[in-house]
Amino acid sequence: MNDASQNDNEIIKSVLEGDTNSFRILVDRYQTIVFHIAFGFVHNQEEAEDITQEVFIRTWQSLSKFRGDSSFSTWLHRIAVNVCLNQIRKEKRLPVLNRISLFFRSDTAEIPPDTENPEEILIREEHSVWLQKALDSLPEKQRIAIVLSKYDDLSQKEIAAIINLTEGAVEALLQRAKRNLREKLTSGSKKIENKRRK
Amino acid sequence: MFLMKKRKVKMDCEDCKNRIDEYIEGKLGNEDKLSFESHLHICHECHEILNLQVLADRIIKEENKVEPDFYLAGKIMSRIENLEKEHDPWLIRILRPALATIAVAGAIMGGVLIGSISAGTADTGAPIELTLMNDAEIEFINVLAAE
Repeated sequence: MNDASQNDNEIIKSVLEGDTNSFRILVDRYQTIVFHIAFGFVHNQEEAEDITQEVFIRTWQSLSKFRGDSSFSTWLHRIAVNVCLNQIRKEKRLPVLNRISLFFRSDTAEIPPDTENPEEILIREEHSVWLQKALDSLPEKQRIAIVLSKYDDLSQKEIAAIINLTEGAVEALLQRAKRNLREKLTSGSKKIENKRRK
Repeated sequence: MFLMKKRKVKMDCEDCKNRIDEYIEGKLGNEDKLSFESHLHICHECHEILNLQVLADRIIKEENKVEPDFYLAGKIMSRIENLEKEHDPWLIRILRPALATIAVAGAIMGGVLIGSISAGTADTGAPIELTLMNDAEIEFINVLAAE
C-alpha cells in the first residue's frame, strides 16, 4: 500500500504490531507541523528541532495509550504543546548564566530578508525580536491559542479540540491574545522609535 | 421634502482596533471597510497599529518558511531504534554476551574435536614410522642409500 494513502490509524496499528519502521511515515507526515509549533514557542531552529524529536519519541512511547477518541493529529498536537510548555518552564527555571548563553546561541530565528535596504532589515529585525518578546509574555493559554492559530494555521474548532475548550472560549481567548499582542507591539514600536531618535 | 440620507457609520479608535484582523483578512463588508479606511485617513495612531499588525503577520509568515533539518526524521528514527534495543527483557540483555561467548567457545571446541577425529582416522597409506619422520630424516636416508 502507498505510504500516502495509508491513514494514521492503519499506520498506528502496524506500529503496535511491531513494525517500527511504519512510524517513519507518521514522522514524515507531521514533522514540519510539529517543528513550526515548536518554533512558534521557542523561535530557535535548534531548540525547535530538539523539541520535535522529543515530541515524536513521547508519541512513540505512548502510542499504545492512544485510544482514538480524537484524531491522531489532535493527540499529537496536544503532546507537542505539552512538550513546548515543559521546555519553556524548564528554561524559566534555568540559572541566569545558562539563559544568557541560550540567548547568544547563533541559530536564533533567521528571517530571510526580502529587501536589500539595511535600515529596513534592521527595523524588521528589531520588530521581529519585539514580536517574539510580546508572544513570550502572553499568558500561557493565550500563547497556545495564538501559536496554533498563527503558526499552524488551525481553525478555532481544531484549537478547541486540542486544548479542550469550546469554540466560543477559543474565540474569546484569541481576541484577548490579539488585543494583548497589539498593545505590546505598539509599546514596543514606540520604544524602538525612541531608541532610534537617541 | 426630506431626503433619505444613507446612514454613515462612523468608526472610532476602539472599533477600528477591534476590527483590524477582520480588515486584514478581508472579512469586512463594503460599508464597514469604507468607514474603517476613512478612520485610518484621519487617525495616525490607528494607521500605525494597522501597519504594525501587518508587519507582525509578515514576520510570522516568514518564520513559518523556516524548514526543519533534512535529516531530522532519520535522527528521530535512530533514537527510537536505540530505545527499542533498550526495551529488550533484562534477562536477554544480560545473557546475550554470555550466550555469544558460549557459542564462540562451542564452535572452536567443535572444530578442534572434528579436526582430531579426522586426524585419527586419516589413512595416508604409509607405515606409522614414516609418517612420524621429518623431511631431514628422509634426505638423510636418501643420502645413505646413494652411498
